[in-house]
Amino acid sequence: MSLDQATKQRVEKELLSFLEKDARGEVKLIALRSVLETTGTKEGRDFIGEGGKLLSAVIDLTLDPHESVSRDAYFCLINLSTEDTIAWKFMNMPERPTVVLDILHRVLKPDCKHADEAISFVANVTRLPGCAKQLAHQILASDSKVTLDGIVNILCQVNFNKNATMHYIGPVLSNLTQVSDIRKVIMDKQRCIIQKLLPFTEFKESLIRRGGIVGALKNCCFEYDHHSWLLSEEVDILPHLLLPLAGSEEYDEEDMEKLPVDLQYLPPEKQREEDPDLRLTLIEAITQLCATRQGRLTIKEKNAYLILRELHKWEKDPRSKLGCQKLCEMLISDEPEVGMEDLHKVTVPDELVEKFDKMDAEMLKDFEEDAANKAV
Amino acid sequence: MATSKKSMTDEERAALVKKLSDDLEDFVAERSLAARKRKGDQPADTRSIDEIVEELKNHPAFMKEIDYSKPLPPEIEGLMQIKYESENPTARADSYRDDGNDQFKKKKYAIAIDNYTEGIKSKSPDLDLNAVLYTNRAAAQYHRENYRSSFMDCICARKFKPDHLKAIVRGAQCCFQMNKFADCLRWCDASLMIDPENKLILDLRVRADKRKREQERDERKQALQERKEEAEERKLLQAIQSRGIRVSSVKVSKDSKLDPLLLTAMECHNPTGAKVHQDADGILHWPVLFLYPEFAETDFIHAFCETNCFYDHLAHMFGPETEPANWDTERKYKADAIEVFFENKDEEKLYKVNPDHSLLDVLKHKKYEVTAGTPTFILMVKGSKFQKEFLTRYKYQ
Repeated sequence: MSLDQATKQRVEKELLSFLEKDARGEVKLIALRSVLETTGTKEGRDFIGEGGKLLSAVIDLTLDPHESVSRDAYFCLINLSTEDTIAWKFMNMPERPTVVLDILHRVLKPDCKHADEAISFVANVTRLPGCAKQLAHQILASDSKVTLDGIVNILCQVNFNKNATMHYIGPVLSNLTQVSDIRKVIMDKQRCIIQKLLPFTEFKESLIRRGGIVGALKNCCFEYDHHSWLLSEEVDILPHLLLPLAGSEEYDEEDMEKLPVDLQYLPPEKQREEDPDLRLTLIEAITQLCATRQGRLTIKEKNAYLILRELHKWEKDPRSKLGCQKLCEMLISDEPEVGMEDLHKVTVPDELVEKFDKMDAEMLKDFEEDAANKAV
Repeated sequence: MATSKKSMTDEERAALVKKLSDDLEDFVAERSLAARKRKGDQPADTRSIDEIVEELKNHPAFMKEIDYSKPLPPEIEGLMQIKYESENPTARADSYRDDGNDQFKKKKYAIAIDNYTEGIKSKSPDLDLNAVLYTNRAAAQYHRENYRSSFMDCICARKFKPDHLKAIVRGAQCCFQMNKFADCLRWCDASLMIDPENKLILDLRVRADKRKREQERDERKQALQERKEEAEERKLLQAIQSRGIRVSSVKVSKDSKLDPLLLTAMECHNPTGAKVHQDADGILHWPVLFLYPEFAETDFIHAFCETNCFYDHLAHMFGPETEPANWDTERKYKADAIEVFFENKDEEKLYKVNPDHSLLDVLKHKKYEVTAGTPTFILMVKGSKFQKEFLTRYKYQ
């Protein structure tokens, strides 16, 4: 469908008249259906997203009293927001600058209709770091009707809205935690926010929610100043990152007692995190915690190596195996010399970075070949 | 009345005054004498000033506090009735709450509980007041370490006022005291919703989380231990069954499901706790009971290796080197003189055991059945009068 400008404008104008609030129900439904179909292709999405008017009309229809209309309107938004340019547009609509925040606000009420669709749209939009940042600042504004506490509380309630799973609020949080200010609020030492998220690293009911929370935790591990607090008894993040990586291996008493209690005497039916990307995210989170001296020493002392060694033996996914191997090497090697202990502060010369990347790439290739051979 | 008022002279007047005054004194003296006489031998009031002060303290007009551990003075009881007789249930409940709070401050928790209970019974329609009464009673119960009652009151308080912070905090503390750590976390989170920076709760939450995870670890450890023990039992039973040894109340089946009876059949029934076990080489060692019906005596062998034969034990127990048993006064029981039998309980028949056979050989005998996990044998002196009688009773051929 490649249309010249004039035709586009005509189609847009005609469609708009059918999508108006006061248009007749069936007409609206049919017009919206055709918009929804159009958003199924990239060209279609670009066409709808080009002018702001259609986007506005669709947003308005998400509040249409007819449920089939409002649901389809949300579906349109979900499709449209998969395009980076359109997602950006939603976040920057001149006449309605807080539209994404408004939709997020709707979702935080337990009786919100089509909450799953609405929250998926917010997750899509905040996928872009720029959008996440803007939404984050709107949330953190002092007069905001949406609070991080509220988001986290809903995330931690399994039956918040009886008509929706609310799983996609996980990715929303993960996206928002790309912003340092958000991370600092989640890790408010005077409050209990991140602690409530921790048990969800083993939330079997939904990969989406679990993945979002694990992603958020990993992002939090980039706040180096918070490492000793994260690893202290007040939060105790490490066992929650390690548990999904642990299988049902039995260790001798001495090794077992050194592990965090959550990892001791796991039952034979204990399974590792099934998703390789999530396993890698967990490994990366622990790797980040190793970037400070205190963090690294705690992780060594807690015998995390034991769990990672067994994971390495078991791991089939090349990327996760590589990540695991590098973390293991860090844990068994000697402490770096004085002055180099906070790894995140050490500047690595470009040629070394290049060399390491090359080594990683080769190792990854080896693992991939291994995996391919085993598959045969 | 022709008598005119005669003016009195000063002397006359003075004499009259004196007379009247004397008369009065005489009268008072007389009355007081009479009064003293009426009292008979009652002593005069000898109370010290301290005692009088004490008595006054107990007068409702001067009373500062009430000692509920003693019976109430009737005046107080009356006053109280007036106070609580109020028709208005809220005023009544309020009044009891105040009294409860006073007692609570004095750490008289039992009395405070009674006061709050009366307040609750007033059935005031004021939801907040009821929430407070329940919460305060919960606090008093908590101080008396009645954590369960306290917890129930917290739940009731929240029925009247779901977000009553003090009730939620108290509920969280109760859960912790009752070792219900998962519940404690839920109550903590509920109170953090209202007061997110409550230090007490933040601290309690950290401790509860830690204890919960330790508790879960202990449960896993226990489960693991139980699984190991069960596997051991299974292996043992496998070893017994594969030898073709029959154990009473056990059906020998290929069924992999473990019959609970199987295990109990092998439970030790002897006070020493000895139980059949398998050594590293897979050899079974049984606890074995020797019966001497002639003297109603027994010997218990803790671990009879299944490959040892009976004579090995007899030679050791009744050999020439061994001191005879104290009941064997005639020294009849010698290794070579003893005959060993076992009984098949179903048939009520005796079977003779060849002393050169191993325990395993005997246990595999198709008529042998192990009962109570302890193989049992009857020992008698060959050809003795007792043996003959005993065998006749069993119609032994």
